[in-house]
Amino acid sequence: MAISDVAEYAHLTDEEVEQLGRELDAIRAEVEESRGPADAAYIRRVIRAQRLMMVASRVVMAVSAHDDRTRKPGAIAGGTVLGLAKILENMEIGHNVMHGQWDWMNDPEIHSSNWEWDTAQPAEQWKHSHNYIHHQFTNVLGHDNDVGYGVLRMAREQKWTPVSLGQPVYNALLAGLFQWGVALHDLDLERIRKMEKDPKELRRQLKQIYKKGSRQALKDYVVYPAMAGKHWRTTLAANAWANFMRNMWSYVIIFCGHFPDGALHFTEEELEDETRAEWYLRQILGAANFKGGPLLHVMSGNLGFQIEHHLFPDLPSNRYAEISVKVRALCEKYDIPYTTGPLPVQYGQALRTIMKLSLPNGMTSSNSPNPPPPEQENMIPLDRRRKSESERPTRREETGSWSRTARGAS
Amino acid sequence: MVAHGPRRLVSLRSLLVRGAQAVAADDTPDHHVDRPYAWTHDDGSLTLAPEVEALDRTRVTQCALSRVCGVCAEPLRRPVAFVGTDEERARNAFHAPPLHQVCADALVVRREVAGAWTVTTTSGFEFVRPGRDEPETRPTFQPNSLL
Ligand SMILES: [Zn+2]
Repeated sequence: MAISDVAEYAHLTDEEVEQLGRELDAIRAEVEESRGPADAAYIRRVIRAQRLMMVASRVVMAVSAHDDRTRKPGAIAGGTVLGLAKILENMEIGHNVMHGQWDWMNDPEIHSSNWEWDTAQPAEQWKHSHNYIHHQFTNVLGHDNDVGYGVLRMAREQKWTPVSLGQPVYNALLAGLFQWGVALHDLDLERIRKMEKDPKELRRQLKQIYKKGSRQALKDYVVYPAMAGKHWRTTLAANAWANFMRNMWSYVIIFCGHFPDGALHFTEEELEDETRAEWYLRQILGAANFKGGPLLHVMSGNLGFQIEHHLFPDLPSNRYAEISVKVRALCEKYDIPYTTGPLPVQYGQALRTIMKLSLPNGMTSSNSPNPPPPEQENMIPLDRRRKSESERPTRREETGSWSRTARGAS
Repeated sequence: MVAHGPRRLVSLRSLLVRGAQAVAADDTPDHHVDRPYAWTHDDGSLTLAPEVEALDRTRVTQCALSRVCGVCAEPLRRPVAFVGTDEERARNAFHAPPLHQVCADALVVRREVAGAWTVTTTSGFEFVRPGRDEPETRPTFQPNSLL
C-alpha cells in the first residue's frame, strides 16, 4: 500500500488522524513528565542482573570444567545462563540504550553515545541501520532493509526469482547465524547486489565489522576456552551454545515485529511530508505485538510491544506495558487494527510467509487481512493534503563520516 | 627488455604513493564546520553563516535518529550540543540537529556575522516531528536533561 493511502485504509479523515495524533502526543508527554528515579532504578537493576548472570556463567563453566562428573552439566548450565545474559544485554539493554531511551538519566555509561553491545555489529552501524533506516522507513519496500534482511522475500510486492526457492534454507541459516547477519546488515546487501554501493565505503565498513567481529569471536572462542586449559573444547562448545541461543531468540523476536499477518508493507517514500499524526498511524499499521508475561517481555527487550516501540522508540522500554493499554484502547476507538497474538502464533505466521513467498505469487494466497469495510459517510473522497514535489525526500545513503575516517575504520 | 624491471618498479612506487595519498585523503573528514553535514549548499561548501532554512531535512532526521553530529557526521558524544537563537532556547525547541560541543562552538563563531547563536548542552533530547496544525514545519529538538 502506498504511504499516502494509509489514512484511507484506516477509514480515517484527516481530522480524525490528527485527533489520534494528539491523543498519542498526550501519552508521550505523560511518560516524559513522569519518568524519573524509579525508571532509572529499573534499568540499573537489569544491568546489574545481567552482569551477575554473565559472571556466574563464566565461574560455573570454569569451576565445573575440572571434574569429569560436573563438566558436562556445568557447561550446559553455564552456557545457558551465558546465553540468557547475552539475550538480556542485546535486547533489553543494548538495543534500548542505543535508541537513547535512557539518555535523560544523564548517566555517562548508560548513554546512546557510549554503549557498545555484546554482538558482532559495531554500535555505530546499528544506530544507522536500525535507529534511522528501519525506524524512519519502517516496512517501506526498497528502503527498509529489515524487510527480509536483504536475503528473504517477505512481501508479495517484492519480485519473485528462482533464487527465492531457497528461502527455507536461507531462513534457517539467518536464524542460526543471526549475529553475523546483523553484523553485515548496514552494508546493505541490496545496494551491493545492484552495484550501487561505494566500494570504498564498503571496504571501510567491512574493516569495522571485522574488527568488532573478530574481537567477539576471540573472546568466546579463544580467550575463555584457553582459560579452561585442556578442557577448552567444553568451554568453546558452551560459548557456541550461548551464542546460538541468543541468535535464535533474537531472530524469532525480530521476525515477530513486522512479519505476522496484519503488519502492512508500504510502497511509496513520501516520508518527510508526513505529519506527526500520519507517521504514528503508519507505525501502528506496520508493526505487530505479541502477548506474554513480564519475564517474556523483559527477555525480548519489550519488543512484544513492537507497536508502542515504533510509536515512541526513545521512551523507556519499561513503560511500554502501561502505554500499550492506552494505545490499544485508542486503536479500538478509531477502529484501527492492532496486530497481536501469542508468540508461537505470531512467529508461525511469519514463518508461513517465508515459506509461501519462496514460491511465485500465483501459486500461493495472501494472508494479509482486507481492510475493514468503510462506513458510508467516509466514502466521500478525502481531501488528502498533497505536498510539494521539491520536498520529496530520498533516503540518505551515507553512513556518516565515522566510516570514512581512519579513526572509524582502524 | 632491460627497461622492463625499473619501469615496473617505478610504476609500483607511484602506485604506493598514490595509495598513500588515497589513505591520507580518507583521513580528511568530508564534513566539518566549513561544510557541515546537515546544511546543504550547491557546491557543498558553506559561504555564509549557516541558516535554519538551509538545513537538509533528510540529513537532520538521519542525525537525530542515528545519533551523529550535524557538523562532522561522527557519532555524538555526551554532552550533546544544540545551537540556536535565544528564542529557540527559551522555547526549548531547536531546529539544527544535535552536535558535538566543539562543532557547536565552531559553528557559533561562524554564525556571529548573521546574529547570535548560543550553545545549549544536554545529555538527552526529544526529536519532535512537525504536526499538521503547528506553526513549526520542521522537526525540532527538545533537550531533556541540560548540562
Ligand atoms: Zn561533530
